[in-house]
Amino acid sequence: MSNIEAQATAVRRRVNRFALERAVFLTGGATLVGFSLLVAFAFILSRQGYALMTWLILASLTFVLLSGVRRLRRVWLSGAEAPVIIDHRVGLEDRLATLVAASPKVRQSRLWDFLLHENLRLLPRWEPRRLEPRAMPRSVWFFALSVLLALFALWMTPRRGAFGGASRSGVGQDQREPQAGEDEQTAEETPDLAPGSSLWSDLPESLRQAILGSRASQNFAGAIPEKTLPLDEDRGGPAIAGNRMASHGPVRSAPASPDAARLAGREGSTTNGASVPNAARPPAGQGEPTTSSRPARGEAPKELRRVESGRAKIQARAPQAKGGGSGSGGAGAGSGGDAEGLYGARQAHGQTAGAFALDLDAMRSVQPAKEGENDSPSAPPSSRLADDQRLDDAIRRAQVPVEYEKIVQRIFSRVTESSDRPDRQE
Amino acid sequence: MESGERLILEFCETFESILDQVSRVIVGHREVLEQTLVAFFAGGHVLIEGVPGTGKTLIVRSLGEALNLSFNRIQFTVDLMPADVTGTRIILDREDGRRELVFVEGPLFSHVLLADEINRATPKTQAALLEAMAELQVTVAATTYRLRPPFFVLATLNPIEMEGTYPLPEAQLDRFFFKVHLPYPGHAELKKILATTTGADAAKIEPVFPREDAPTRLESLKRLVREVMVAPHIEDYAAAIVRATHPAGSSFVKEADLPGLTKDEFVNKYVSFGSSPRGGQALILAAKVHALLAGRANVAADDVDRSVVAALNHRLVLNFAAEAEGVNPRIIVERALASVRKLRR
Repeated sequence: MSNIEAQATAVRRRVNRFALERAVFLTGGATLVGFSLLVAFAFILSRQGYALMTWLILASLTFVLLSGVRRLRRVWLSGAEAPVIIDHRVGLEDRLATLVAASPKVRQSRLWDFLLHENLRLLPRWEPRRLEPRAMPRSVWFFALSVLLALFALWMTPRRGAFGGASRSGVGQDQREPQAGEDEQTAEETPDLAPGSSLWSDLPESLRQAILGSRASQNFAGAIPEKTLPLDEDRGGPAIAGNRMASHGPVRSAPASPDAARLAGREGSTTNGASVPNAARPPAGQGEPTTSSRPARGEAPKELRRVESGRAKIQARAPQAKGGGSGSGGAGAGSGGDAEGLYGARQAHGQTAGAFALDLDAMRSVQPAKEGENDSPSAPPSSRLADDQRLDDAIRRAQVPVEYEKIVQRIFSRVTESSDRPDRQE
Repeated sequence: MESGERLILEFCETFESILDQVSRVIVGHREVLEQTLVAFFAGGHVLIEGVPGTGKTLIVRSLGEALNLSFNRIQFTVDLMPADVTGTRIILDREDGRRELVFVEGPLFSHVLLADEINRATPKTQAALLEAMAELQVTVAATTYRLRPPFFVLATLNPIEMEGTYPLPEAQLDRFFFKVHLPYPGHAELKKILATTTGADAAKIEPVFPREDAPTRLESLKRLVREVMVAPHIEDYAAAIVRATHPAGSSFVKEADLPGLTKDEFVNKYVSFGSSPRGGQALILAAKVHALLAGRANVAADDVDRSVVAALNHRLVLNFAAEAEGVNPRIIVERALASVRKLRR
C-alpha cells in the first residue's frame, strides 16, 4: 500500500512539474518571441503600425498567458485527484482511486486483498516515466528557439541602428516620416526625425551636429559627412557645413566647410568672371540671378532638407548659370553675401579675404575667368591642391567647431559695422 | 487475496451457469436475462414490460427452476384481493375442539414470485406487494411475518388492452429495481423458438445449486455484491446522474442545489419528477454486480453507465407535454447520462 501511495505521489509530482514546465516554456517562449517581434518591427513599421503591432502582440501574450494558466489549472493534479487521473489515463478502471480512497471500514471487505493485489500487479503500468515519458516538455525547444531569437534581436539592435542611420542619409529618405520605435535608437542620429525626443530637440543644433559627428565617426566613419552634410555630387564632399546654424539677422556666417566654400567660390567665379573663392551664395531658389559682381544675397538654409532641395535645384538651374546668371543656389553655404554683407566688400576685390580664416580653400589658385568664359559651368575650378590632398577627407570634411563660428560671427559683425559706418556717413 | 479472487470467480461462474440454464429454454433476450439476474443479485425486483407471448412468464419460471428456489405465480385480476397475495387468517378447528386463528401464507411467501400482469389488479392489491418488496415482510392483522430470503419479485406489464387496468402508482414503481423492456424476438430467435418449443422433447433446466443449499449460497453471493468497493468519485458520478433527471423548476428541488443541477432542456421541459434516491442505490448496486462480472473488486464508471437506463427510466414522471409529444423516458435518461458524461474528466 505504501508503495502504491509513494508511486502515486511521484507521478503527481512528475506530472505537475511537467505541466508547470510546459506552461513556463510556452508562455516564456511566447513572451520572448513577442519581444523579438517588437524589436524587429521597430525597424520596419511606421509609428502607427508599430503601435498597432505592439497592442496585438500584447493581446496575444495576454491570451497565451491566460490559456497557459487555465491549462495549468486543468492539468494540475491535487492529492485527491491524482489517483483518479492516473486511473483515467492508464485505464486502471478506478482500481487505484478506490484503493487510495478506501476507508478502514471498507478495507474490512473480503475483496480488499484482491483489490490491493490487483493494484500491485498493475503498478508497472503507471510508473512515472511511463505516465510522463518525457523528462522535459517539447515546448523547451520552442523556448530555446525563442531565447535565441531574442538574443539575435538584441545583438542586431545596435548594428541595425547604425545601418539604419546610414541608410537614412540617402536623398529622399531624410524626408520620410519618422518611424515609431526608431525614436530611441536613432534619435541620436536623426534628431530632427525624432519629434518625440524632447531632450534631443532641446539641445542646440550645433551641439547635436557635434555629437553626431563624433559618434558617427567612431562607428561608421564614411557615413558621417554624408549623414550630417549632404554630399556635393560634383565634388564628392559635403556641399555645406554649418548649414544648421541659426540665422542671426544681418550677420552672415561664413561657410564652415571648405567644400561649401569651394562650391560657393566656383559659383561666384562663374558669375563675375573673377576668382572669388568662398563667395557665399544664397541657396537655390532664393538667390536671384545677377550679372553683377555681387554675390547673390540669400539666406542660409536652416534645415537639411532645404539644402537637399537646393542642391537639386543647383543641378536643375545649371544652364541658367551658363547663360550668364550669377551663381544662384550654391548649396546654402551659411548665409549669402552681398556688398553690404559679410564678405561683399572683400569679394569684390577678388580676394580670398572674404572667407574667414578657416577657409581651407584659401590655398586654391583660382584663375580669373575672362568675361564670357564664365558661361561654361562645366569648367572645373582649378586648385593648387594635389589630388591626394583634395581627396583628404579628414581635412576637407573637417567640421568647424561652433565656438569658432561664433567667434567669427562676432568678429565679422564688428567688421561689418565698422565698414557700414563710412557708407552711412557717406 | 486468494479468497477474494475465488469469491469473484465463484460469483461469475454462478451467474454464467444460471444464465446458461435459462437460455436453454429462453431463446434470445440475453440482455433481459442478464439484467434480471443483475437485479436478483443486487437484491432488487424487476418489472418486465412486453407484449403477450414473448416469454415473460417463462423467463421467471425458468429462473426459479435454475436457481432451485421456491416459485409462485399470481395472475393479477381486477377482483384479486390483498389477502389473496399476502395470505389471510382462518379459523382452524383443533383436535381438542378448540378453535384458533391461523395465518395461511399467500403466494407471496416464496423465493421467486411472478406477478403476472400486475397492472390489472386494483391499487389496493398492488399495494399489498409494497411492504414485501421493500422490507421483505408482510403484516397481516397486526402481525408481521418475515419472508424467507432470497425474495425476488418479477412483475410483468402488458402495454396493450389498457382498458380496465390500473397503472402502477409511482411509489410502487419505485420499488422495482429495474424495468426491463422485452422486445419481440428477431427472425433467427423466433425460428429457434419454433424449433425448440414444438418438438417432443422439451428442454429441461438443471438447477445450479441443490435445493437445500441454494438460498444460503445465493444469499452469500448477494452479500458479496455489497462488499464491492466504490470510490468516492464514482458515487459522485452516480449522484450526478440521478440529479440530472431532476427538473430545475420542481418545487422539490432546494434552491441551494439549483446551481448543481444539469441544465438539460429536455429534462426541464418534459419531466415532472425525477429519480428518487432509490434510483441512485440501484445504480450503484447494479454497478457492483457488473464489477464482479468483470472480475473486479471495485466499481468503475463504466459499470454505472451499463445500468442507467434500466435503473432510472421507470422512476421519472413525465408531464403531459412529454406524453403529447411521445417523448420516451429512456430518451431523457440517455440525455441526462450524456450530459453528466461530459463533466467526467
